[in-house]
Amino acid sequence: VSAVLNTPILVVDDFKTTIKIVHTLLKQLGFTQMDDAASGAEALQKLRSGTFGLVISDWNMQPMTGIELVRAMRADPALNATPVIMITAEAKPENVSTARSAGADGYIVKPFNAGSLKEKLTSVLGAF
Amino acid sequence: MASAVGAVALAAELERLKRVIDTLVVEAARCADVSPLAEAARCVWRTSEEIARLSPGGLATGRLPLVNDELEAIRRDTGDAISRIVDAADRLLALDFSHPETAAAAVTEEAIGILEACCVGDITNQRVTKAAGILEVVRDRVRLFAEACGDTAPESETAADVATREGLLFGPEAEAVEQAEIDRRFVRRD
Repeated sequence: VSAVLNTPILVVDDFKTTIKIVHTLLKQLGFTQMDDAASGAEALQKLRSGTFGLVISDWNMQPMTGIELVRAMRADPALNATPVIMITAEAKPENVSTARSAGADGYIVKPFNAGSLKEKLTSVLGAF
Repeated sequence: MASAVGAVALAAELERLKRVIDTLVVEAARCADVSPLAEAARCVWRTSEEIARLSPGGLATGRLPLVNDELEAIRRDTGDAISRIVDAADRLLALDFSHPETAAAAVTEEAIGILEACCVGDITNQRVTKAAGILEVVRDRVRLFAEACGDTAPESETAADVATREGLLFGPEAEAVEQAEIDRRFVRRD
């Protein structure tokens, strides 16, 4: 079993169903350590008190949006290297540019499927 | 003698008062031409009649809150249904197929549960129809009110209005970038 599959992943979304779908897909792909947060603020708290190898985050949440979370992580030396994949319905060119300049490592547009999630996970974490 | 002088002065004063009164009468007659004000008053009265007939209070406290209630119910019902379907999918994915008969029975049960959850489509459709009906009533009344006010010119849309309308129409996908293009943008950073 690839070590990548043991990567602790934090899924951040204010819509519980999306969290559940992402968890289910991750589980199907073989990942074993998943946690979740309902906002950027909650995610940041969990990131600072635990160890995560990847964050998968929505954009529109309160308090603290996904993009604010990415910025906060990039400004924090302890979290600066943790990769972030955005999963969002925001798909305008300026949104993509904003996410890219904020420091996101991948960007998936909703609706998405297991294939596109696996592709992004592979590009960010390596083959598994 | 003194009374004669007083009488002359009084007569002069009376004459002066008479001229003042005449002037006031002329001014009063001029002011009596109040047709523009009367027309404005009639317009206000007509409008107030129209407003009363449109029952704005009823719209604000009765019908419009119903639209809000229906939309809230749609959001709630849809969320519940999605949760039920996702839960069923979770259970299906976790099924143990080493006992085919048991698994088959479970699949049937879960499939029925999913179909039941999908009934939300029918309920949602009814709620949408109800909300749309209320909004039609509101639209018609507002139109009547606008006509009563003499505001019959079609609304002109600004560029910002058009952008907002089209953005709402197409939702988050307006001006969407394809996933492949997004991937290219992220790869270019590396």
